Amino acid sequence: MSLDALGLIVADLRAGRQARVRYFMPALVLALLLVGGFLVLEGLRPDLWRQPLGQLGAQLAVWLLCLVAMPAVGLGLWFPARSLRIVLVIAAIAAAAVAALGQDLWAILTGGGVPGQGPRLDYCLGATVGAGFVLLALGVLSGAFAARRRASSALWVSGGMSLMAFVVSVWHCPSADPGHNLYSHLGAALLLMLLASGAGLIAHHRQRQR
Amino acid sequence: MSVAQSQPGLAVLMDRYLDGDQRAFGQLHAALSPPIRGLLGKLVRDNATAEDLLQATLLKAHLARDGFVVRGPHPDAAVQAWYTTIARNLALDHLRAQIRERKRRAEPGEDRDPVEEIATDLPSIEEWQVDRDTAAEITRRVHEALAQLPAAQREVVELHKLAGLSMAEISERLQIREGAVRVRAHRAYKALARALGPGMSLVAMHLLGTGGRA
Repeated sequence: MSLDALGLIVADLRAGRQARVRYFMPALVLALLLVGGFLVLEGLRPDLWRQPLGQLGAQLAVWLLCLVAMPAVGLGLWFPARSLRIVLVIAAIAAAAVAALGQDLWAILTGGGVPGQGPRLDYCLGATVGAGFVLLALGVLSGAFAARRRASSALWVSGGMSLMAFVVSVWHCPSADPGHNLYSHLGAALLLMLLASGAGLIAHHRQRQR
Repeated sequence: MSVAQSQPGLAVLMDRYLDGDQRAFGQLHAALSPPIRGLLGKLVRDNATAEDLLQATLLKAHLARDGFVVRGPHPDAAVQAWYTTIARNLALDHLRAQIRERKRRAEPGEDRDPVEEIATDLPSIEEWQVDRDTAAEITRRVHEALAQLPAAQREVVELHKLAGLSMAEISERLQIREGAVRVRAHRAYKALARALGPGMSLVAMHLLGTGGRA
């Protein structure tokens, strides 16, 4: 018989991975078009390239995480070790905090309180959650939440979508008010993450059962 | 075969393999191939055939991988048991195909079922010098001892020794945890050993497990 099972199975797994890339690439491109279209229509913040380097770097890191790393893990295109997955989660949280608050983050963390606006329903909160829901619908329709067996994969996809909606609002809104940035950008992302995770887990459960 | 103890990451590797991770499959292959090859070699007693059956086992498992579900408290052992069951079934199919082929050719003296020739750690009937009458007597006593067992324990012994199912298969058949099956089997065999005496119970188990169907 002289079969090479290892070679055949690895080739099959590689083909499956390529099929997943082909299947989900249109959804990713569509997501990019949606957020890009929003930024074109609503306009980028005027001080985008004049922000502190660290804050801008954190925003670029968030883009990288939400467009590449988190979807890749969630869709089963990349299988980092557990330690690296923990690093990714911590990096995402830290990058989002720095991206939203910049130097104000240090003052808040060292007990300086949150000056400026308190939590309230405003345009940025609505835009973040709204954009997140559009991305969420895209994820559900494309089957992204059910691409892997483990339910935790849905959390990676939801995390990526939430970060994408968050960074869009950060790149649109020029506010320097730490209170607004904390509640209406970062808080909105957290709220979206919770809602998207719940919806993602339900979608995972239902779509995997089909 | 003690992979479950020496490879604590089998279930994790399996999980990642099922999600499409090539590297995890490579590691799983490296961990499982030697013990499965050893099992198959012991069953078919031919290295080349064992190697072919190993490849077939991996392919069959790959095609059936969506049906793999971890049951019981030991996920690593469940992975190993799943592959082992597939390998053993393939080996038995191979041996049965051999005997069918031999019967078809009608070669004199070649009509013994090779399944009965599967190597076992227990001594053969001949080595125990058990003659037909003694075997019948033992079988009768085993029947009596089995009848004394609680129904739940008797069921496990019958499925394990008479039907030849593994603990994992019995667990699946009875819809109880594999650990519970093992506890029942342990208690049943202890009760049988008490009823039959240690030497007699070993012979009885051998008879049950091979030709002397009780």
